Amino acid sequence: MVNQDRERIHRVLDGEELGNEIAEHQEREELVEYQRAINALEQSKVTPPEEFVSHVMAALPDGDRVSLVEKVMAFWPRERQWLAPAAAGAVITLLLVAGVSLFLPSGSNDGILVTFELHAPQARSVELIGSFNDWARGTIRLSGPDASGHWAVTIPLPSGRHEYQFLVDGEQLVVDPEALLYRPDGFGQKNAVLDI
Amino acid sequence: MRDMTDALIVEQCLNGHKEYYAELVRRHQSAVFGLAYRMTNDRDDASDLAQEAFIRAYRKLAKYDAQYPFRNWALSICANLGKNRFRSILRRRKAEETHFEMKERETISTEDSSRAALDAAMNRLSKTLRVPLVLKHVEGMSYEEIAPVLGIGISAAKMRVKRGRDELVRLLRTEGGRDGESG
Repeated sequence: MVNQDRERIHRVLDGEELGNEIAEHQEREELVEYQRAINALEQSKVTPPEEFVSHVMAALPDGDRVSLVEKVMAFWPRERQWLAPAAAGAVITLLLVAGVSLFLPSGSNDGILVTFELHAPQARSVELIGSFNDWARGTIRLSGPDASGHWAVTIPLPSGRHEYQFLVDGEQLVVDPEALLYRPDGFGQKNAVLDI
Repeated sequence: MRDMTDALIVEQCLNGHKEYYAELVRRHQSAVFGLAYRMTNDRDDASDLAQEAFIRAYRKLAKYDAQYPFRNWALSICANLGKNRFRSILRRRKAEETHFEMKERETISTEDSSRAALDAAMNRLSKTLRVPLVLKHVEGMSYEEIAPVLGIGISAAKMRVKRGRDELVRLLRTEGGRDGESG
């Protein structure tokens, strides 16, 4: 959590407030310290290797992908006389999509893709439970472990606040050590909080 | 080609003119490589990560939405790649760097010491805070631009930058950020 005392410093750094309005000596000194750190960061730009562009170009896949797109695009009506049949085709497609969508669960692809990770090299299974799946077990399983012992899953979530925990080996609740926020869970433990 | 917009260059690439892509890489290599470097803290690894990001972008070029800057799109691909991969490389590097820094500590010049302290402090920041800090203060992006790159909301982007600044200053205070590292 951002220290409330430094809110004003951050507002100055974001250009939302003027630094000369800060009268208190210690806060002014802190502001200078922050500005010095940020100036150093701004000047820390690194330059890529000289041959970087040529390396990327040499590693690009052959034109298959792009030429496939080109082939698809070639069917697009380029002459005016194609417009009427093309428009008719578009209407039919829209009707088909609308009809099919009636039979699909709504919002299945909505939301922001979020990756959850947990380092648990010894675990046999890791699940994600949270406010987004009504804390239901067995619905979101993480894949892993990878070579470095990490488990991960990427899921779409709607904007807003979500609380979650990991469930390791079906019994042990683990709080995400990488979370930015935590909140008491009402049972003497805490949940990780994700704001998106 | 240098006068063309990014969107026009993408269109040329999609029309089969692969060579146009070099101009896009040239324009945005500094931003993508810079982010990759801050995520890996190693020039070779950064080069691999940035290269992979550009290749991934090329493969997905048909999905690029021209109403957003190409740079931001490429940065978001790089951030995602760096998040999901290169972890084992990073751990190996950490072990090597700790040893390397111990040796270098005494020979480093005064003028380089503040840069070294910054690098060490940045390297200690968690990637969750490091990446938004780089996007904000190295790439000069607004919170409205950072949010979609990281796949988070604007208020969350703002919070991460603030926490990143707090952490960076705290780390610079303690031994110039040289007392260890974290992923």
